[in-house]
Amino acid sequence: MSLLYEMIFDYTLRNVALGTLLLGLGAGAIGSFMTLRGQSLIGDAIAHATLPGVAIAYLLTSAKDPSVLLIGAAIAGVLGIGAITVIIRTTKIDSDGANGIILSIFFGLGLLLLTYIQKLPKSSQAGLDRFIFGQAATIVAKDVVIIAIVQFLVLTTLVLFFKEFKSSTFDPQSTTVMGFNQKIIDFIFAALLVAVIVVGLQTVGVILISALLVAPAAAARQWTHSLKTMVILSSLFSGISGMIGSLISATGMNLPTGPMIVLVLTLFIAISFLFGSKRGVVNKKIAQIKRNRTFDQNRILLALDTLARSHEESDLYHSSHTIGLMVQHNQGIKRVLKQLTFSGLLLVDEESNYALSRKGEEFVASLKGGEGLYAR
Amino acid sequence: MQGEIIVIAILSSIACAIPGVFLLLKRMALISDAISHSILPGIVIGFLVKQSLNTPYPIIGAVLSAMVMVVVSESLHRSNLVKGDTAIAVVFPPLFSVGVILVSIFAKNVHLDTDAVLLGELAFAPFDRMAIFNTTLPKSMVKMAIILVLNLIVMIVLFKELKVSTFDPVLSKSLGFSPSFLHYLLMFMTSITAVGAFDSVGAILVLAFMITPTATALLLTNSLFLMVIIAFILATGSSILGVLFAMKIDAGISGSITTVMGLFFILAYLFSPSNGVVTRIKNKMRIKHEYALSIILYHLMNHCEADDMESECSYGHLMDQFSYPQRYLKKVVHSAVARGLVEEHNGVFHITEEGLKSTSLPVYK
Repeated sequence: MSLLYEMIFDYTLRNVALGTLLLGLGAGAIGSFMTLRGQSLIGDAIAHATLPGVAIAYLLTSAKDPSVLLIGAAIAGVLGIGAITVIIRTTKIDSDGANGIILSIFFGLGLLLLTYIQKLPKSSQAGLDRFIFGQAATIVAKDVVIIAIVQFLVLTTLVLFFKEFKSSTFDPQSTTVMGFNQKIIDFIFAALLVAVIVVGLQTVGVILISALLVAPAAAARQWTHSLKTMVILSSLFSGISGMIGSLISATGMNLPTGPMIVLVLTLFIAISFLFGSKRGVVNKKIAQIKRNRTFDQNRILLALDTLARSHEESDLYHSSHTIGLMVQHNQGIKRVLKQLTFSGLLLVDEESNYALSRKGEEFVASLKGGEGLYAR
Repeated sequence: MQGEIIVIAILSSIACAIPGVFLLLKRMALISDAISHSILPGIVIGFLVKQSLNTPYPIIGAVLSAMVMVVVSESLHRSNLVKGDTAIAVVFPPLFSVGVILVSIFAKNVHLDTDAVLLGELAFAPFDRMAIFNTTLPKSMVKMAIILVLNLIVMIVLFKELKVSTFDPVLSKSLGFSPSFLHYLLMFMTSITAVGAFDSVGAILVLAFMITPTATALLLTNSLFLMVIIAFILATGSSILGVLFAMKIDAGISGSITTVMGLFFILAYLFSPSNGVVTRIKNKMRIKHEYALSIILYHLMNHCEADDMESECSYGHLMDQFSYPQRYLKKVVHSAVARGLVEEHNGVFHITEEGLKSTSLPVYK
């Protein structure tokens, strides 16, 4: 309760909570499109690629003002995404390779500059370290305003161009045929991606911010088959886990924020993978067990029907062994027979022999799609 | 001491390039990134056992956590819960996060901080020595040398198998080499190499060492064998230049080596003789030139010795006919005259015998 109280009235915590919540909303939404487009790793590459931008912006202006550094980061991010596109289009290197190369070259350059800056005489504490793993506690009201504006723009654009993004994600060819310029859509998408990543750098850090994009989308996908629902869910997952993670980091033992958020996100993923209503492992298993049971039951009913037809009296009782031979497996057959008897489809005599009941015969008829078709 | 640092850098970068070649060609470059991130918790836990990086525990822990990443992401992919690259992107960040959090919790009392995780400590490597034969060598030099030799042995012995399974997994299976065995061998090799390179290069730039020189080599050649050799040369060159540059400006060594590797990549991208940007632009210009030349020749051929020859074959008419810029047309016509395909008489162009031959079409008169 006291945490909730502090969240509302403590200046730092309020900023942290609000900032990361807003950050997550946009990141989760754009992340859904990114993963569905099969570009899950591009966010990682762009995020790493922003580091030299931060360092160069600092070297040029020696400003500690975050907005200047973020502009540098954005330029580097755009350059990075452009370079990846060019490499994929003009060489035989695949998208994985291009992502990896740009990620590592840019990040290597960034680290080189960062270590250089650290050794400069007057700037021993430029505070650039926070860009690597993120430090949510450094968020001030001004940062929250920047995050809010950027996220508002991103979400508005997503809503306005929802149709175009949707169609270009699932069917690029038909999008082009319908007369939308795929290149412009891709460019807008890349710009949104860079914007979301750049405003999140301070909080989550370059190394782990891509998790804020990919993980909630992967989790949301387990709960729905509708894009709209997925985007909303992903956005909520991302926002909530961003907030929880950063609050733990800001109140607790001065733990780095990015990793904390990732761990909370992973919890969401684990729950979704297990219990997700559309694809979750547990649900799938339950559905599979149900399917198997129905299959076994139907086979037994059909077998009894065949037996009944091949004998003169139609209500002849058969042992579970005979039925087992008919359906060619014996495991658990007695259990299934009992279930069927319980639901009134079978009749059982004193020696545990089974026959179709009236209801059972009707059910078999409906299985066969009507008496007429298979009648002798 | 500088020499020793350079040697360690060379050993690490060549050792990394060996799995890198096959990862890049199998379109799994980012697996190496994922592996190098996910070894961190294993290393930290192994480190905490004896408070030292020079016991087998960090290596065992690291390989185990890398294998956890590989197996979990593959089973996620196979279960259809998420697509392949998403599976990787979902599995390695939590592992890395656990590592970072462990480091920051224990940072006060152990000698392993986030800088070491990110950058490695190549500059301090020569201080940590071990006695070997009659001399002492830096421990990380010995470690990287062993890993390099192991990687070389695997690559040389299994070169054919790795090659086939990289380019044609189905053929490889039908020939009787198990692609999944080779796959896991490669994953294992990548993990061991990443662990070894971890203290000199840092967790993240292992990716750079693995794929940047190999991608540069891929731009320069189409032969696997040559690609390996070129990657080795580039790795060596980048290590030497990178260490020297870092010493000069007093900055992080691994970042500096990576930057040099990046410069080599850009150079190869621009100037590769087979498909660099410059070569491609040159080719494009040559083709455009040849095309302009040939249509002018056809035009002259059609009008040679016709009644309207005077007007049709003048310079001004060529300008009207083919809307090329004046200077470009001049250049093309000049080159045609220089090659003896066209002659000029009083401002009228005649196609020569040589020119007729070069159009290689029957002449209609």
